[in-house]
Amino acid sequence: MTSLRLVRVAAIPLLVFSFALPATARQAQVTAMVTVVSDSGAPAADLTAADFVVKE
Amino acid sequence: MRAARINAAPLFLSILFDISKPPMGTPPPVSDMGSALASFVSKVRAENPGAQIAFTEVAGAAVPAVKFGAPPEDLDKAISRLFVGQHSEATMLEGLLDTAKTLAGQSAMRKVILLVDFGSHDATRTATANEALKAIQNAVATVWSVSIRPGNAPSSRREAAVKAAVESTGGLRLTAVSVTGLKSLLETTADSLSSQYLVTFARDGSAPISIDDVRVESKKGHKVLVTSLMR
Repeated sequence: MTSLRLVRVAAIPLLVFSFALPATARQAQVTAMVTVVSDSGAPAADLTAADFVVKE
Repeated sequence: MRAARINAAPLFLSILFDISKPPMGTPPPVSDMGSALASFVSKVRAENPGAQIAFTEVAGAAVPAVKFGAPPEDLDKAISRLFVGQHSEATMLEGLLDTAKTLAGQSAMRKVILLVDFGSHDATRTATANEALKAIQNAVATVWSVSIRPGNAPSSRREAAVKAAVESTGGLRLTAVSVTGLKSLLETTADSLSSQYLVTFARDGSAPISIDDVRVESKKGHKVLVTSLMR
C-alpha cells in the first residue's frame, strides 16, 4: 500500500513536467543534402533557406 | 530552417565511361566524347575546389584509368587519349559495384558516381546488379546517369538497375538520342553537382527518416533532389 502511494506521488510531477515541455523540445533537427538541378548554364549558387520549402 | 551551399566541401566524383564499340556502320564518336568530357571536368573543377575525380573506362571490363588522389594532369591525359574498345558491350553495373566499394572507404560527404553510357549491351548478372545497389546504399553515394540511346538501341538489363540506383540515392538520369547531346547533358550535370546544399529543418518526433519521407521544393522553380545523405 505504501509503495503504491509512492508511485502515484512520483507520477504526478512527471506528468506535469511532460505537459509543460515546449513544443520544440519534441522536435528533431534533420540535415539533408540536396541537389538543385540547374540547366540554365550556370550553378544555382545564391539560394538561401528562404528559397526552400520542406514537405514531409 | 537553414541552407548552405557546400561546393567547397570535398567532392569525390567517380566517372564510369562506356567505351564499347558502337554498332556496325556507326562511326565511333570519340571526338564528341572527349570534348564533352573535358568540358564537364573543367566545369566541375571551376566550381568545386576540393574535387577529386576518378575515371574508369568500361567495355568488356571496368578498368580504372585514373584513381582518386591522382594529379589532375592524369585525368586530362586520359580524356585526351580516349578511345573506343573492341568489345560491343559495357559492364557498367560491374563497374558500379567496384566503384561503390571504393567510395565506401571515403569519409567525404559528397560522393557521386556518374555513369555515361551509349545504349550498349550490359551482360552483368542480376545478382551483381543487386549487389551493386546494396554497395551504393552502404557507400551513401549519389548515382547520376547520362545515357545516349539511339531510338534503335536494344534494351539492356542495365536500365532497371540504373533507374533504381538513381532514384534511391537522389541522383538524376539524363538521356539523349544522339551523342551531340552529350555535352549539354554533362554541363547540366556539372552545374547541378555544383549546386548542392545542406538544408537543416525541424521535424516532429525522432523516428528515423529516409529519402522517401521528405520532399524539398524551390520557390525559384528549380527541381530539387533530396539525396540519401540525411541525418
